Amino acid sequence: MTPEWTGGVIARLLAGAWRPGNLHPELEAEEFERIAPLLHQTGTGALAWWCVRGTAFADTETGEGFHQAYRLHTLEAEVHALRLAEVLCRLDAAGIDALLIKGWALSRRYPEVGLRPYSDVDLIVRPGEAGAARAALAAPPELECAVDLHDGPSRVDALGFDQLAERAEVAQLGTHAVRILGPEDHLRLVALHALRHGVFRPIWLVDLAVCVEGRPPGFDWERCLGPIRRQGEWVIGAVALAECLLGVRAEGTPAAGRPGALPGWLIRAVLRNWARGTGTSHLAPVFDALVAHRRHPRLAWAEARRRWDRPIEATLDVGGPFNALPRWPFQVIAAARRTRELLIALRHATAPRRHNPRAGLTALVGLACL
Amino acid sequence: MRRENEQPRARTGDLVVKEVAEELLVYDLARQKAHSLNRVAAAVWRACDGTRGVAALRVAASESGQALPTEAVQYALQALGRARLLEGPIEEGRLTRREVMARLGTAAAVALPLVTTIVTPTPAAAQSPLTCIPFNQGPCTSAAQCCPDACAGPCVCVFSKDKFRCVAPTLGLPPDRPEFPEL
Repeated sequence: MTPEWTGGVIARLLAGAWRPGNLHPELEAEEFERIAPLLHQTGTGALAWWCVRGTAFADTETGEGFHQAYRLHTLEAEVHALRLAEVLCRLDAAGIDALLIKGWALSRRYPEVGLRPYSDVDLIVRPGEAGAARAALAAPPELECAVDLHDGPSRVDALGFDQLAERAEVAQLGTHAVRILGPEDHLRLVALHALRHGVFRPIWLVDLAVCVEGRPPGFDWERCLGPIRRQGEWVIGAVALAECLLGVRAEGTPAAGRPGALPGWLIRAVLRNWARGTGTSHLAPVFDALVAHRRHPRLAWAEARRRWDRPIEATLDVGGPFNALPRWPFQVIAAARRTRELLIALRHATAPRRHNPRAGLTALVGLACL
Repeated sequence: MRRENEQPRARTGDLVVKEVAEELLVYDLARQKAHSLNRVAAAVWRACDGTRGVAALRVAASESGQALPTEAVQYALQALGRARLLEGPIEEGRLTRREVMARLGTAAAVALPLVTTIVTPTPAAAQSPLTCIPFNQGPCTSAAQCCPDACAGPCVCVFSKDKFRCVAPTLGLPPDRPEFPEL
């Protein structure tokens, strides 16, 4: 059973998972058992419960595990909403404009808010205001949630804060008004974010599916694809990927009819990532990994190979197209960039590693294969 | 077992409550525990207003549909107390589930109150921000709080920037490494 096969089973289970109503996934019991840990690991357990509720799978021990994940995520959603309200309240009091992205802003589009996992609160603040925002959030009593503050949207989007804010919509969270990205901007951000991480969490593609099928009438695709042509192509590629793997209804989108034109490497890379359950972007930094494996060249070699296998991230890093050409040139360039980071890290490292010849070998392996 | 004249009161502070389908989910913010109450346990818990004894609770909880025997109410109070969902000290109960089921007979299938602490024996719990801290996030007080997969190996809880965070052990960080490498 190849990783692509495992990823394909996950895709079959999650096809249409964001829609209300009962689903009847066509899976064998063995397949269901095999993908369960991966679904839990990537925060997709609650959604898996949504897919199998009302079927024979729901009565199995694995099904009960998914039910527990659903209960946990449902409570998380409630707790997250309380904590988000506290964050927004503090920022309001400090007079700071913030735009909420991902997390709660997406989960409210699902049939139930507990179908999606929650981690930190992602907020974009006006450039230069992050310091004041951090100060407001750091004031006692201590917040009980992690807040990922973006000092302006430059690291996540090509548009400026004012452009995004102008198109933002307001949602109600209890008594708080929450500003979230407009549907076009959010769809673009969700697609690019997923691709930047190699779409290693199936839930990210489901998020995209929710954005595509839940888009309001009059949705402006030109605005969604953004001012940078290449980014627009990536967004179209991501939507086509969601159509191909999850059965998103892509009629009326620029991706309609594109699944056949999707390059095979893109689909295989996503399925491999789903089968692994982890993404390279969430691994420890290169330098830390090499330090951890400094006495084990074989592990370092495996680590380097794992880090090499990220054609999607490499294509985005280099600004390449999603076409059928081989990915290795992009991977080489991306690896060279990461090597530069490694060299900087090595320069700042402390001395002990210099006296260990195997550490040198490990570093060379890392340099050669990143 | 609770005395007949005792009037338990449901806790209200530091709890997040959510009703889904046929159960009531309760998250205890103070103890960081999640519980699932089935319909019977939820009915008893909701009836615990501090003015009703066991007999009155039985009547009140039965109003929601299923007629409850006294044993079921006592067993529910025992389970709710253990889950710290009632005000006041915990009273060690003596009723076992088997005994209650035996006393309830065929009614047990619908009248047995269940209070289950949600503990997922899977990575779902490890991935939940209610139970662990992801990479480069905080605040943490020990490495044990970090998510297992957060650091591609054991994490350490170190002070970085503005708070204690879960990060991979390292000998030194370059000064220009971004705090949040990616969105």
